[in-house]
Amino acid sequence: MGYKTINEANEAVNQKIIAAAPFLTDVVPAKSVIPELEEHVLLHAGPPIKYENMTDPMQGSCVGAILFEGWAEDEEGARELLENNKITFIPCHHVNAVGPMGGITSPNMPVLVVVNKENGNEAYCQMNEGIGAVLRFGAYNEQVINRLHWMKDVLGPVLSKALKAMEGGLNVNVLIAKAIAMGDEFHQRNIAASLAFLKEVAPIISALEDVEKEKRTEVIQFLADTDQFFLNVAMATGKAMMDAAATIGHGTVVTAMCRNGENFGIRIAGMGDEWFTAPVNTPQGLYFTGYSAEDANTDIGDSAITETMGVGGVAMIAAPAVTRFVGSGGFNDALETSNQMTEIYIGENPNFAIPTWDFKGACLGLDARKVVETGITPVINTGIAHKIAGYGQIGAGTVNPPIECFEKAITAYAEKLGFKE
Amino acid sequence: MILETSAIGSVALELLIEGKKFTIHSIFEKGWNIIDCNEELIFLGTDENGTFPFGILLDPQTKQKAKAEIEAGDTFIVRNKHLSHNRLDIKFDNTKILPLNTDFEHANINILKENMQQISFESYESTDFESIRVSELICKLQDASGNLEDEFRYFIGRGQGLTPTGDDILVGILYGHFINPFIASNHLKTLGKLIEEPLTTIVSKRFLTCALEGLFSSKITQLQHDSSLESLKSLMKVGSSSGKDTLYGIWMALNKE
Amino acid sequence: MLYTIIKENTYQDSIVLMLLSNKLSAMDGVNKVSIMMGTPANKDIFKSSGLGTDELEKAKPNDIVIVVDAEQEEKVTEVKEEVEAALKGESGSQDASKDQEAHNWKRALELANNPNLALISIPGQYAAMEAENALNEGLHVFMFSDNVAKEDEVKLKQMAHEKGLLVMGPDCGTGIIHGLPLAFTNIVKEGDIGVVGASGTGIQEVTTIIDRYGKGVTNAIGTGGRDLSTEVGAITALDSIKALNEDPKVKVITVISKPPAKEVQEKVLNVLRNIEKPVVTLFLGDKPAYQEENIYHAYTLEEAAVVSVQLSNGEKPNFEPKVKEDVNVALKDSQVGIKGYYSGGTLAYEAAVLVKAAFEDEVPEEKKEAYILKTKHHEIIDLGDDIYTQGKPHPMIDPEKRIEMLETSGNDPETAVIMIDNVIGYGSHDDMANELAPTIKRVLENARQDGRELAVLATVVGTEQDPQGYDKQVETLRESGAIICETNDQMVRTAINLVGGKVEQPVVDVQTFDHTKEDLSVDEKIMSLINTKPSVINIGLKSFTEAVQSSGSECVQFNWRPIAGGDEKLMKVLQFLNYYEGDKI
Repeated sequence: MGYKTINEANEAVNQKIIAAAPFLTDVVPAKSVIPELEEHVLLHAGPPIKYENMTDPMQGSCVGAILFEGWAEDEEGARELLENNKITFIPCHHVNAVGPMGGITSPNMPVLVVVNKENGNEAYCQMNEGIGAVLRFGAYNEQVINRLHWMKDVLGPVLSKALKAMEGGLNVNVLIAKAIAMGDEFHQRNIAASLAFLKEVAPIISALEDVEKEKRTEVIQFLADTDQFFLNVAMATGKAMMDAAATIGHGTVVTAMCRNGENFGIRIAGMGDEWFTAPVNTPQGLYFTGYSAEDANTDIGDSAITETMGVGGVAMIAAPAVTRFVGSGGFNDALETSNQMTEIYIGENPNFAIPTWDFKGACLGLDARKVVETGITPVINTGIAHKIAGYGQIGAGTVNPPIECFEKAITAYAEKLGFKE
Repeated sequence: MILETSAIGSVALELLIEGKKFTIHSIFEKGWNIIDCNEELIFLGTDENGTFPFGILLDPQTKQKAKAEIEAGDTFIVRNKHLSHNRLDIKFDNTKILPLNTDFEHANINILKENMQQISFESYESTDFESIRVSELICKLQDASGNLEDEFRYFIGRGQGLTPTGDDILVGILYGHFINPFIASNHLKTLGKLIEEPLTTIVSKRFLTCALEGLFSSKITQLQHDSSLESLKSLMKVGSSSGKDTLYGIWMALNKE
Repeated sequence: MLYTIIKENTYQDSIVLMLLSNKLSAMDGVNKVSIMMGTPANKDIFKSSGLGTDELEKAKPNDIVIVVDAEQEEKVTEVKEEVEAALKGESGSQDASKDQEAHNWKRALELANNPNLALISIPGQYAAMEAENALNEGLHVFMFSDNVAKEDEVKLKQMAHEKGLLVMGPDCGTGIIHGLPLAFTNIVKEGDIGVVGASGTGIQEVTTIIDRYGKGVTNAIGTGGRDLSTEVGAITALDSIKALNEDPKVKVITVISKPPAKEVQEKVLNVLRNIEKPVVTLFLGDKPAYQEENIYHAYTLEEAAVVSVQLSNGEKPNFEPKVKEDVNVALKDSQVGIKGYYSGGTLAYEAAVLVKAAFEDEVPEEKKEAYILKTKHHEIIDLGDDIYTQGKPHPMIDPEKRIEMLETSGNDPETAVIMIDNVIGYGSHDDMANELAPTIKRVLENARQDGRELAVLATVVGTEQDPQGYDKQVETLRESGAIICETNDQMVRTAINLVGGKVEQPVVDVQTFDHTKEDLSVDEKIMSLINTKPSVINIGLKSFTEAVQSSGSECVQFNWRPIAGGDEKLMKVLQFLNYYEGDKI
């Protein structure tokens, strides 16, 4: 199909996002859906990065994943494999996946499967481990590894059974629409969606006869405890939507944003799989008692896929409760943030109406041209990791992508279309 | 506008003598403080930070409505079991009285200690309240000999916030004492005498006087009935650091040598 | 330096204090800041962390104490404002609706309440584009920006005229619209004299003299210096004159300009000859050769102002130039030079015109860059000229260059008189007199020690209503030893008098001229501009918004930025993509 102008192409991309029909259908071992995940292969967040350039938490996650897989006996062994380049790294985004924070995903970790029924593509994301010492922030102590095993052996299979019991899986758009009206923005705040998810699966899990009662209770307790469980569902959903939208193959709408702690990378519809990168910023925000900006790790994780689809920090107005947590003022500041975002997002998503925004739809279609034109970059809500592996989350805040990514992307696209200086 | 209260603390109720005048001292997100001529303080507001013996509990809507009408410095007069303000009347005649929760014997110290292990207090090492200092105080508290005035003066009123960190830690230590007594009574007397001096904020003083009598906020007494990690986390969420500071005090008290 | 702020008996949610602490630490020029309750233990912390101060001792346990380590004292005001803002509202961000700012046209128009005027102060290369946008939105335009191409000016003014709108400027430094001071302007009483002017400080001098004579100006419309050029053809001046003519509240119309192109001057005079209201014109630099029945041709700014006042009072025009007679200064024979260091361009120009007229037979003029006038003995300099302002603030804001000039010329044994202006009002220095006074004192003292006497003459352009206060500025300068002249005219004539010269006032006959009939009607939109308080969209300098708001008018701040941050390659890329049409996609 041909488009006469870039506006037309961008509109087609937006229509593809609106039309998306994401369903959460299963939880499976990563290697069963990602053939690239062979022995000694790990996925990571963000655009491609070498092990030695990873920040400490991401390296810590690698150690944890190796211990979980049993490729090494102990930390020393794991470090040896990593430092001698015995581990192959692939960005999550290259294999239909996304990963929060470090995004380190190994073959046997369970992943959520979201199918975009409109386009027929799938996307994957590992499950949220809760808060405190967790792998995604670089922790790899015994408790972390044990939890990962429990997720593989209990949580994954039980959720898989529950999801399969739903005909066609769980309609994610419906959940998102519900939760956005309950004050979630799906990056920093997912509590409403997580509860709504629990509401859907709890009766089914309770009735699973082939699962021991103890395990059912454990799973339900875990879901009830994990406020951010839905974040990873939202991420897989974003990936499934944006990958489908990218098939339009034209225009300047951003189809992926992610960070690896070293670089921020974006893709635009007209440039396919090419990454446009620039050094990441460090998040600004509020720190838990005892920590300060000096302890903060640089921006990291694939979770900015939520802002790519038009929620997260962009939809700050949907979640006024978050604004204080991320240190950006009150309701009016949230309103201002979202209003400002309408200058760089070219549409509204009618599927996700925001009551606190007078039922305006969430932002849709981040136009790289508009970012460069206005100098306004999208606001990304984010957790802040300690720069030393294992400390975990030390605060929350907002971060903006470096504008150079967008400048590089539109310049490359213009050149592709015949622009000469 | 006539507004209903949801519940009232016993300390607050004792202060609400017919005809007595209170002034609004400070207004916060979650409620406001009034003080009488002796600077005795009552908090009116929601229970997001727990309920207090010196508190009057309002539901969020009531709090919001009332807050729109009041300003610091306004007066309330107690009339016919109402707190009367020139634009508001807050009724407390038929309200329920908050339980005191002095059933410290119900505390399960072992589970509490076990669950507290999941919480890291490491960040205190780089502050004025490093663990050696706190445990030294706790150690001395057990021994009736000596006078701890200097030590108390160090803690009282020290640190960030409306209830300075040092005070919150002391409240935590006192709670540790009530569930597992260890403080020699002369030290409690010294502390009681010291907090009559202007060493800390009125609010903080209030918490400390209550704590000396074994009266704590519901977020703290909750630990007696449910020692789970959830209760601990819920206490941690109080204030910006107060909850965690209190918890640190309890932790240090329970882990004394 | 350490500064202590104590908020007595104040309690705040700790989150507010945390946010405040973050905000203050992030401020430029703030090295360190700590916010705590003033308990004895916390006072110890302040002290041990190097933030101990004497004031701190006064703090009580229920006070919020803020100690700031800042480089300059000015920072403290800023810190205090932030503190007040944070402590006032619970969230510190409530009711932001009033102060909202826009960064695009769409938002600016949404926020503004029936806007009718755009005030533009963005860089010249972009100003024309935004002025065009403003006209397309039906707004009158006040262009403070300079460096706008002449062809753009012509295009904009023609476009505006067709739409029934007014373009004031470009390079329009001052203006009063229905009593609202715009850009660099004095607060002048409202009244029945209407002013149209092609020069900034010329308008300021005339309107402030009118004010000091007890009369007022409701509209002083700046046209920009090139309006009376052949190419532009006085489009704005003519529309403005017609509007003032149609306004029943205007009794006298005063037109100020440098001498325009011949045919344009004829065009303007023809329109003025159609008008029944009394008119005063000043084509500064032209010595009037005749008077007309209904048009008074003035020679100097003061004359234009004084005659306007007289006409407004229904009196017969009668202007006698004044010279300060009682100047006690013993000059040696070798002291012959007049040195004028101006911040106001038109004032410098007026000085040059008069000095030239007084001495033209004696000393030939030397053409020299950076001088308005340079002869063997005399020099008049406009320090607001680009040559002096490269990378530096305007001399109305920055005293540095003037101080330097005062000292150099004061040390020159040939110097007899030094003249300086002090233009006050919105946009100018808070207390320029106080900046200049010590230097004046020193210069006079140095000369005395050198066995010379010297006259430093000064004039203040302003009114008592101006933020700096006319009397206060005059008093400060007088105390420093300067001789205060009421107007620039008086100052220059006094200087000339001191070195033994005189400017003859033209004595001329009344002549009558034929004129062709002119349509004097004006678009309703222009009438409504001068008859109601404007609602402004300010594109550029934020201080203009504050000035407009403090005068009680509505103003929306439009924080304009060039697209793509002004990067030319990216601008081309964007243009390519935005207008791309093709088969490749």
